[in-house]
Amino acid sequence: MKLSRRRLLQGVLGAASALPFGLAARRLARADACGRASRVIFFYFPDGIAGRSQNGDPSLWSPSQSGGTINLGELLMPLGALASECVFLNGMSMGSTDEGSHPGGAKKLLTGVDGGNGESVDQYLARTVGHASPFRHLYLGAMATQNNASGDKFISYPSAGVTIAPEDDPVNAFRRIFSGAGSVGPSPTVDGGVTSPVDASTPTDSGASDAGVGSDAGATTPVPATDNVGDGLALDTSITDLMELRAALGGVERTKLDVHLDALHEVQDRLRNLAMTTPVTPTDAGSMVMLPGTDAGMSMMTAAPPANCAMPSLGFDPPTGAGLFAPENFPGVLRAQIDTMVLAMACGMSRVGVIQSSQHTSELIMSRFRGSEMYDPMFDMRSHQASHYGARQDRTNRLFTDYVKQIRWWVSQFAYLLEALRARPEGDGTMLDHSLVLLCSEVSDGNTHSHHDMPFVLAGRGGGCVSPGRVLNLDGRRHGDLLATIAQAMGANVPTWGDAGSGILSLG
Amino acid sequence: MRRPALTLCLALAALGCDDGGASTPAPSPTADAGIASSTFDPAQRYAAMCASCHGEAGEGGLGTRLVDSPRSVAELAQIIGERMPQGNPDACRGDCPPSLARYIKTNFTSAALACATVPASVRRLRLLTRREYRATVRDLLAIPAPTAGSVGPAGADPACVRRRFAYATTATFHTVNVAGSFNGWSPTAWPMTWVPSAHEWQLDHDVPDGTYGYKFVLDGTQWVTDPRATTSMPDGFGGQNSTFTQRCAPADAGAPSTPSGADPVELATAALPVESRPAGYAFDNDADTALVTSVHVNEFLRAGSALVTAAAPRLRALAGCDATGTDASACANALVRGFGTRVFRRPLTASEMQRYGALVTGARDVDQGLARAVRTMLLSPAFLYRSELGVAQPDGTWRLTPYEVATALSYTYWGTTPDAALLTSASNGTLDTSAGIEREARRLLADPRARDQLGVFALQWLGVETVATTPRNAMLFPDFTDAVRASMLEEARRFVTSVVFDGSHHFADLFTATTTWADATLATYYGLPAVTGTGFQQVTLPAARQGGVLSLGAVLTRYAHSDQGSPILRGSFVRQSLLCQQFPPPPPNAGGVPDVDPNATTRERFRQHTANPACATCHRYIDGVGFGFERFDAVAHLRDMENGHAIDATGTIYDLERFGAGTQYDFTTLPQLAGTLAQSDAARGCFVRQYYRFARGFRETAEQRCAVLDVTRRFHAAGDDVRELMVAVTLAPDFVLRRTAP
Repeated sequence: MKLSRRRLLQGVLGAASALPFGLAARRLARADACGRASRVIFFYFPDGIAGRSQNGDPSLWSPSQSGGTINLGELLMPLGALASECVFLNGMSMGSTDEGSHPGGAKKLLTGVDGGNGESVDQYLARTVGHASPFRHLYLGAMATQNNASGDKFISYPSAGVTIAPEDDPVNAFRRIFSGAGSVGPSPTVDGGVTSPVDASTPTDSGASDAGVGSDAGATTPVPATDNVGDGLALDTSITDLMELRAALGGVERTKLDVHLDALHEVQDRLRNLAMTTPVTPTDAGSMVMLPGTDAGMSMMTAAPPANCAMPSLGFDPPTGAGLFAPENFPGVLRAQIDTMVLAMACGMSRVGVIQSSQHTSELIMSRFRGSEMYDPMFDMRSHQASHYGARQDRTNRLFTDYVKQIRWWVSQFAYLLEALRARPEGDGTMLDHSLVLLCSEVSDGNTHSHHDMPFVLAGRGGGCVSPGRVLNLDGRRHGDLLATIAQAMGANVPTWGDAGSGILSLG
Repeated sequence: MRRPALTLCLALAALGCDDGGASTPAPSPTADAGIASSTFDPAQRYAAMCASCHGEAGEGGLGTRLVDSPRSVAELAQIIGERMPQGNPDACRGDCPPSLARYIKTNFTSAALACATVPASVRRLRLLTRREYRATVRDLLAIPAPTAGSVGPAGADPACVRRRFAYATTATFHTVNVAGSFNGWSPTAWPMTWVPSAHEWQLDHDVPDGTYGYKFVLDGTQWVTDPRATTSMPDGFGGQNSTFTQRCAPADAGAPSTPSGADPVELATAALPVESRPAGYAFDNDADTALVTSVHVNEFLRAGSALVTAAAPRLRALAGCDATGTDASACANALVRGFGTRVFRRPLTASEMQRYGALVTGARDVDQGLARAVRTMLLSPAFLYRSELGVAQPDGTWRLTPYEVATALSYTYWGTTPDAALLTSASNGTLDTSAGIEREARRLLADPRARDQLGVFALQWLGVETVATTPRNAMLFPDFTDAVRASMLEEARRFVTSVVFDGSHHFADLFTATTTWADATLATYYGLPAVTGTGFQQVTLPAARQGGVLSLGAVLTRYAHSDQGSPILRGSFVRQSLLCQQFPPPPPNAGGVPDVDPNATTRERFRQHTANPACATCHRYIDGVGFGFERFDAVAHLRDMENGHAIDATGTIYDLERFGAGTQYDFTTLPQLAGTLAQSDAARGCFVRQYYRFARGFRETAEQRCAVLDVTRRFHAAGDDVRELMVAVTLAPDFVLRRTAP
């Protein structure tokens, strides 16, 4: 049963959690899993692609290969300079269940299980091989929660049938990741320094790092002072409270309380580790490179300061607050989330990330993206609207031509993410060489909602687990096999994944 | 009643309905054991894939009635395996057909359908929603809510003239200043301070009454607007200045101005994660899918710390500790026996008293210890979850404790933690009887807070909360301002609460009322006779604007696209939110949208689209209702013409009470459609269901439909008085009775 496995695994991993971030998980890689990928990012975009049409026009997505030459076709064109970094996985299927449905596809996408009735692979990796990272899981969205989106719009499943919502506000995401753990934590941005080590298990500690909260009683500013000891005490006590409750309940609400307990432990580990170590500075996180395309729509752009993990910076201010859901701000929000994800991973903050762009059946008005090829201030063209371009690929139909532009735009955002990873040196190569990045959507053709011939592109070498620069024709193979392959590359011993899995893809 | 056999056949085929069985997809037996294993839950898959045709209790509809099926399990399994779901039998293979067949035979009996008994609810923990968390900490820590306009009396309140400016940033700057009309636009006069814990630049500065424009100046050179500002005006350089109005002297006019970042509760909780609402569940409080992730823990920690700091001057008084004393033991004792009971909504256990007491006594001083203990309480599962676990009864059931009853009552009617009187009722046995529960329920309902909470229900039930931010095309709708959006939300809140509390109290009036509530902004926008004064007033609507909740500005706007109204969204809203009718997923052979003539009008285009039999089977239920809203555009303007064509707002409701019922109502105006809904059993039953969900925090399963039916009967017996519906949900047996989930 899953839950007992879960506890067992945590016991095993718990012993390793004192190791420096990143190393612990690597050591757990089984001999039979490739296990050399440092990180994985799932990059989702909504409403599919111009695949095989209702009237039988061929898919505009399927790339082909002749000898060493990859022909991308017009939808994947923005990946032109990156084709050698990608494996193009033609023909994968998500199975027949809920075929014809956007939510049905979103439920299967990362779970590999019909109806979303299983944990998603990102969550599984987060709590297993990603367990020793300060943040086991990063789920960043761009307008993914718009209009109080129902849960079937989200693709990350911590438990069978249950989704969580992504963080849609890049300012929140950035602050959470880089402000340290707990209520305030060490703040590398301004202080530069880190508070002295604290032992959170010592209730009577009143060391130098403990500025106290009550002592600020008369201050006019309601900003709490750093109280890492107080954070540690709160977490310890909360864990004790939870264990008592869990014991008293027998099996009642077990899943809920297990997830809760994992979450408390994660923050507790983070707090302890951050207190014990200097800010994570991978040897080669180096100076930030000016990334291509960073000026698009960024009126507040400043020259990118030399960024490192002690002074993390996006170099610009993304939209926040009410502006988060204004369609014209979407490119800026997504850009910020991509940059935050890359920065977080460059600084060893996490190994598992999901970036969710908008939501299926999206109302996102993509014709408001200034500077893009679909920009048209006189006409609102929404994602889902364009995806229902009709029964055939008709170049005189604006729905179709705009849909093509929209898909190309999503691919260009994926390309930006890959470029950002490739621009940073890591080890003997680049971050991208050590990463796996999956481009995915919940349906194939946006008009027919097919769940076959899915638009999947896997980028990066995964530390050597994957040899990119190839087109594979997988002819109906279930996508659970791709998820299992990714999991294996991350060091999890997962021979198959989800429904109808048949084994690991040969990508090495 | 014209339904040629051929059409019905097509309809059933395309809907995925067929005679004889039900279906659901199953995981393949080859699925990896253990990891992410799909536990096949026949109830869940029946609800998802079969119920829309066969009925949630197998009572039938477009598909065959399954109750007391004469077929054997093997026969049912064979039908399912071969034909179900219609058009996609691949979706149900392996264990799926026999498991569903067993489920159908076991559960769908006429005895079960009759609902002779009301089943207990499942024992649950209900995580506080963001809304409940905020209200609760406000009450516990005595942090007042910002009133509209946050206007204090005559300059006496120094907190009023003091304004906080805050600029959150992820970039690195050396300086950030506030420049505005209050300081002569000096880029250096008002420097802000970097506050690392908040990850923002802040400045608290006194500002006299007035309206001001301002910007932030980054590194002395970049002038940017305040992303949190809600109002702005042109800056004369082609850009915008942020603006705000400060008003501390007595005034009763003007739009409210909530100072940016002024409310400590909003500040502390702004980054709490958004709830994930299950599909088809309108509310933010579904207990079964509310998980505490590490992001929650992170934010609960931050919030607790910030809130305790904000309440620091009051903390000793709140906890019952001596104002200046240094006796930590005495303070600890007071805390765990007094204030702790309020935080946990029950007396602390002995081990909790020991733990929390030690937090106070183990600290450097009383203030530090108290702060730590309180913020630790705010992270405890005892605080974060509303317990509805109950205690075991001799008969094998479970019954909520009096404290759990008090908590359920308070959050149901007020959306916040129990007050002192409720906790007293819990402790003295009042809540052990249903008479005591009813007395408290009626007391809570008589309080103004019950109106606010019903307003929350109204916005979530109608799905309109996001009208404040849903995108609209400003070139097409220049008068659809932020003020109009805000007034529409207030209209929706006031309309529902006034029908229930002030008007006839009658359910039907939610559809047939000829009045609404408007302020000057909204009256002008709707073209109603001018409303004078500042507040909202009840106004009589012209006939064309009548329709109760159907013609609320927020509803008309929410169910539309950025540039045009949507008969599909509006029709789906009526079917799903008001009639609780769910549609099966489209079968795989339905295909996509056929090519349409781009030159046709909206209604003509939809007519083409619904002429396709594969689409028409569902869309005849949706579009025929949605066309009734055609006199309203995407932002609730009335119109007679669209693109030179006269508006046709006639429509038809097929199968109003139940899919497959074979009824048809034609209507010519929206008020007629609304009047039909007002008399509909399906609409009334759905309203009960929606309120039941809101009160209970879960989506009822087939078994729990009997609990809903019980409440519906009580409601009907009380003459469809909505106040009695609200009482009935706490009188129904499953309010206090619990069972362990199977």
